[in-house]
Amino acid sequence: MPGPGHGDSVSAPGAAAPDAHPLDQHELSRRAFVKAAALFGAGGFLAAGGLVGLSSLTRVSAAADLDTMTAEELARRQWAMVFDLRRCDGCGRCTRGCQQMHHLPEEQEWIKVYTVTGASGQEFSLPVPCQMCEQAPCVQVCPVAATFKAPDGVVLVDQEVCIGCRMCMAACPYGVRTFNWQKPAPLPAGVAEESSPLFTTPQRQGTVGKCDSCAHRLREGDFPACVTSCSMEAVYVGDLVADVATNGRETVVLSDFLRANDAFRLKEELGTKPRVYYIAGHGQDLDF
Amino acid sequence: MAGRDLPNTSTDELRAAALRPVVGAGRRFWILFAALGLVAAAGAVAYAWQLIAGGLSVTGYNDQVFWGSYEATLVAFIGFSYGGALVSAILRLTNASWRGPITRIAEVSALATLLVGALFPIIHLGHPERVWELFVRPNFQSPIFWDMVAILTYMLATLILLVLPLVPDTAALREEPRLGRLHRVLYRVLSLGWTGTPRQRQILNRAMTTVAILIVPLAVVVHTVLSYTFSLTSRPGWHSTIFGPYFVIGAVYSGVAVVILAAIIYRRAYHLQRWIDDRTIRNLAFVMLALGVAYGYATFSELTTEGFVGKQAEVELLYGLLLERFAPLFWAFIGMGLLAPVALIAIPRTRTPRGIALAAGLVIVAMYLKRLLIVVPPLTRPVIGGDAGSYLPSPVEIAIVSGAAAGVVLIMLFLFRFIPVLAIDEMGEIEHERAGAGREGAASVRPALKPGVSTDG
Amino acid sequence: MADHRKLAVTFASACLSIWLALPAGVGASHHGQGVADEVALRLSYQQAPVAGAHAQVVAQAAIDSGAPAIGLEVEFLRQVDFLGPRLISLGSATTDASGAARITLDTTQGKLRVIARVAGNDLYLPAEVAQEIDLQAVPDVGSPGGPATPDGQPNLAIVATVMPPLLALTAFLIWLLLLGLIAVTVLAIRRGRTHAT
Repeated sequence: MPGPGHGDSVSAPGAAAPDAHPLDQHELSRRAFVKAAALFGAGGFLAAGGLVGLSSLTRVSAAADLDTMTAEELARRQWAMVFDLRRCDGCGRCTRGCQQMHHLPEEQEWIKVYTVTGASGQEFSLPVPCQMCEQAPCVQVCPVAATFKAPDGVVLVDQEVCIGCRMCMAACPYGVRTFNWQKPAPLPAGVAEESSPLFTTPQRQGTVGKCDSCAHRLREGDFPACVTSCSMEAVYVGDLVADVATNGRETVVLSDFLRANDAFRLKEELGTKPRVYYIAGHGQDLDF
Repeated sequence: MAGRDLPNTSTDELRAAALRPVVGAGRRFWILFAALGLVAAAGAVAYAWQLIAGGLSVTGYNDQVFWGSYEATLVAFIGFSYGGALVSAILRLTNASWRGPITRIAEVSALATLLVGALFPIIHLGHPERVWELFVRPNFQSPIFWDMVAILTYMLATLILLVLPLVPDTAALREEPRLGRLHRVLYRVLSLGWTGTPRQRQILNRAMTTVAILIVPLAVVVHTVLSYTFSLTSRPGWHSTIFGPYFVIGAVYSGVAVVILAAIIYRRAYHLQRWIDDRTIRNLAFVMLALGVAYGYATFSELTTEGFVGKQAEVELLYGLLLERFAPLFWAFIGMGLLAPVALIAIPRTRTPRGIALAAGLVIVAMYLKRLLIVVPPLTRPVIGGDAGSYLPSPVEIAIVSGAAAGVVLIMLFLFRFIPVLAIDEMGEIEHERAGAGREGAASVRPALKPGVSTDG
Repeated sequence: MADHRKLAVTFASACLSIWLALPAGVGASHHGQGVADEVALRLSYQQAPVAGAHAQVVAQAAIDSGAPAIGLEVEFLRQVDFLGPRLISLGSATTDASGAARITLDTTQGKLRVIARVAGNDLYLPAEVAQEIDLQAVPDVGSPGGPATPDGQPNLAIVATVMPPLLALTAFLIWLLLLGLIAVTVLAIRRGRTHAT
């Protein structure tokens, strides 16, 4: 028998007026149930989100324990580095010193020394650490803000937050980021574990690692490992605010030093505004 | 009764045909199911191995080529889901009356590929257990965050597009004697008490149209944002303005191929030729042809622009693709993904269901290959200096991706054990509109299409 | 006396006087033979007179009698505290006839600790003096335009701050719409089954 279609009113024989359908009260309670469920669900979601949010806040502040300075205090220094390529002979001591300091595996290099051939055929060595860009593409693309720019200009990674998506590695134009594919080797005896973004050791598997400008040392008034490891005194660390830079022996007025020696930055055209400067040369200035 | 003979909507036969995958599962079905289940299980075990034992060190990834098969699969599978958006939404909005028999297959294939594809953003992470951070401490400037938002929203819309037409369909089948008890209970729930009143129909149509309108920009956004994870970097080969439209066109192209292949396979397996007729298949094939030409044009445009100016990085990449390292894969893509399908469909002699199925299959494989070609070659080029990188998918990666492909088919097989493979009600609606359009003035009595619908909800 | 005796006395006196005078003469040119003079250094500075000009630091060198020490090379250094106390070379200058050596500073304002050093030589002992210098910036009268705009970034920064919340709001609204649509449709279908129109 054909059922109801267009134009038919659904009044089966024996039924009362359409409004007094026997299931209406069930429908009403179902509606109430749906409403209650929706409210409950929304409330639960908000509560869960709130709890999770709070927990993540406490985690962030715990990570900052190593850091006892306020943002204003930190911002009084804006760290920069200068590589004097006239002195660099490509020995790679900076790479090894950095690996030692951070207990890195041998295949992970946070400062890579490239051999580059110039336009006139001259070969020179180019050490490339994290360029500490002012407009860092890596910071822009990290989905969970695990990588961030500290008030003193250093770009750091919080390996307790990093989800390991490697988007930052895609965005970095200098190729300075490494990924911890393997489980790290155990730390040497007597070395404590650290989880602060200022100094993470050992590196956490499944997260991104990179040069941190030895931020933990800088804030204590000490030198980054690459500066002290360099046997040619080719690496300078400087402060853009105080306008000074030193390689441990010589100290210069940073802006004059850069201007007088026609310092350049890598991939300037990308607008990343790196804080690492290079003085062109090819290992020729060996005056000691 | 309609004056014109409408064999497609002879309801009893239609319903019987639509239920064939639900009620009839022969030996071949279970063998296929078991085989696919094994492959999917192997993939699951491989992922468990990645999670527990080695982390991402079990992949072939390295610091230079840090994205590979997982990311390509992510883009490819989500692209495969675009067939649903096309058939269910675009063809609906343009009133293409031939879409009726394939909307259900399109929607189910869209959901299946989308569900599996959406797993890969999690699979490729180094710390998948931290995914919740994306909700609690997101960086709104990151393309990956917007990836997640877009994919989830699109998933909801795809689900709605599948479930809404199921309401009248399951209503018609509530009392179907051939169905088991489980199915009948399921249909009762799904049908929401549908009785086919004009009011209900109006509500349903409005909802379907709203979601259909919404899902088109949503689909565009999803693949555009996916392309941004590549194009919003400075890498040569990725930093291209064409990537947004390129990815979207590629997605719809591969999505239509999936719908075609699924439709032809189900048509053959369950003898649905009467409804999924040659004309429907050919129309779909023409759509795929047009999209293939568009994709070929976009590819040509991209490569010509890169190659003409002679920037060193782009030229090296171009040489790598066309002549050197990646040339075999690239030309395989051109042949399988553009030349062969276009030829198969354009030439009337090969424009048979078999030929079209072959074309669709080639497109699917070739488009997966293309996504690999988008992800890997630009990464092999060093950014500052040093040697070129290399990458080979590891056994774990191969197992996971194969398992995912098997999973897609499994989901489809599974879903069609529960829901009718033909959109009975929608097909009836389309026929009714066509018949009604042929009349003049006189009120058209809608033919009784729903025997067996009871009034007690 | 005999003539030959007068000659001998004259000759002996001449030798004696030469012998006595010579060391004295030589000694006179050494001025105290083996004992170098102490040098007193004083630092002073002149502010820049007009905007754009630079301050000058003057080192005045004098010996303890008050006479100026001329031709001395004075090395100027600046002391900074950067990862420990460090010295930056500011340049060197030679004292002129009045004993003053001048250098021009690049810094136009701020506090500096300047050190002037003289290396020792045969005539003068080494000396060093340090001085805190506080340079006041000269107000710039009539400079063209206001402060320079940073390289066009602010406009983009506004977009980057406004867009993401807008997008988030759009996504949220779409979700509300979809979920609301489901709810409304489901409820309406359930209700609509008893109504004809």
